[in-house]
Amino acid sequence: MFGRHGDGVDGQKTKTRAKPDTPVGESTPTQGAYSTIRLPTVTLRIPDRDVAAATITNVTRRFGRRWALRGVTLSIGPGEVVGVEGHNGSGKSTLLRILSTAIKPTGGEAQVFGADVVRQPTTVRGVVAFLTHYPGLYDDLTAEENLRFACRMLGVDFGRVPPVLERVGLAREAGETVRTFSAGMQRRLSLARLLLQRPRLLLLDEPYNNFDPAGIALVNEVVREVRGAGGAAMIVLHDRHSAGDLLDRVVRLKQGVVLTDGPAPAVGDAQTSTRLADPHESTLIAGGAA
Amino acid sequence: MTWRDEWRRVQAIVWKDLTTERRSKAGINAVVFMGVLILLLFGFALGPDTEALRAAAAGALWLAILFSGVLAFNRSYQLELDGGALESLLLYPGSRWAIYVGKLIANLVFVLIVEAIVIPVALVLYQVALPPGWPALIGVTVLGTVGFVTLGTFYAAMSSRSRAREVLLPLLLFPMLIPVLLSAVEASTSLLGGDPMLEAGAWVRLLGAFDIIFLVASLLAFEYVIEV
Repeated sequence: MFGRHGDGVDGQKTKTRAKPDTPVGESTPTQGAYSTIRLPTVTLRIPDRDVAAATITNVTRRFGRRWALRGVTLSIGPGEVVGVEGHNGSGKSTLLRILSTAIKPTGGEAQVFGADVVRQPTTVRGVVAFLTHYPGLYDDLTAEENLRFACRMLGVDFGRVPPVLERVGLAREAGETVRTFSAGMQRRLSLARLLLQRPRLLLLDEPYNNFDPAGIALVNEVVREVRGAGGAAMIVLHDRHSAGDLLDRVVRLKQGVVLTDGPAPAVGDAQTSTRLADPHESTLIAGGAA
Repeated sequence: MTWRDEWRRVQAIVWKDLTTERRSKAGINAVVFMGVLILLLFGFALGPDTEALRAAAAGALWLAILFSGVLAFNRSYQLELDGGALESLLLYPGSRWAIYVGKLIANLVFVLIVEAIVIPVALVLYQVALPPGWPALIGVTVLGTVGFVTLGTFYAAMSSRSRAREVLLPLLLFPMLIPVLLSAVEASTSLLGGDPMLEAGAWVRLLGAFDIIFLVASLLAFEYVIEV
């Protein structure tokens, strides 16, 4: 669309309108009454709509003797919000941890915006934000100090901390140590850390746990913002009700393989409640055991 | 990521670890108490013979630092494991060596603070007078501590994901520490005795060489030991 692709590392295209070695603004006389005016080089960086937000190809993962994933193949497009469901131990969290680079797959390949999670983990970490089961906070630091530490690690300005704390409703508790926080407040602070990052792929592992209705609305708002900016999200959930109409697709995993992968039913459908009725459901529609 | 970015991350980890330690105070109290306790136990084991106490002072002091330091290394990663912070730390963009260097500097500061308390106690308990070359003795202490902390931080990372990490860390660490311990004890003993044979220099050079080898090897290998 805008000329040649860049190296594809972060999934962006570049356009160069003048030769790179041409002096900027230089005017050269040519034949006749015309001069060639060389314009300054213009570089456009726009989100690449063609590069998938995440591509997972035949990914397997083994913990000791147990296979958590047995050949999962999935793709998430830019601007897509995908829900991942399944019983405990079906491999949902493992899938997210592989995409976040927290663990490596035993086999198969996974890319995030064109960057391989094994070969280019630093690039992947720059575009992914992962809300885990655990708060991942330091109990003896205050809420503000936790976020300032995250700012230093991410290389972002401390100026982002106060508005983010305000947004998650912890501005008044900014100076209190995390040790004194309830589980819900810790969850809000974990979400605040994600907001510092401005990610392109959100990975949320049961994000609605410990949140009150306002917190659930906040999570959904953050996901919509990322989607609106051309990013994508993958959300592990047990009950689709909290996500409302947020999900574009729902993937169901069972024993490490993809059971179903299709559009999310409309809110209010009988299928909206995703409590898996039959824990012994045996038909594997997609994916194969490794 | 530029070197400046990585150094900013190193500083952040040092600040975070030391602030957490300063707030909780549980770590430093336990480690100092352990160090003093070991010195007392060695003192009782050696008996009231002043000459025997003086001769064993350097060895007893280094063993006290080693045993108490292991508590500090375990605690350094325990802070990350509580609440799943280690995974979050590893998911920040940037090189893994910055995490190692940050932890290493924080542990080094921590162990040096412990030594600043334990060494005067050892001098009093073992009735050792400071020799004229005491600045060299401080240099040996710092070099020995760098070697000890380099390996301790590395092996603590390696054992951090194990359920038996409290047991595993000394088993991995102590055999590797033999060259550092030997060099540090011999150099310290020579300096405490006034270094009549001028042998401290050779031990110090050996200690420095071990420090460099261990530091480079740990930096290169850290990325692989911290991976799941």
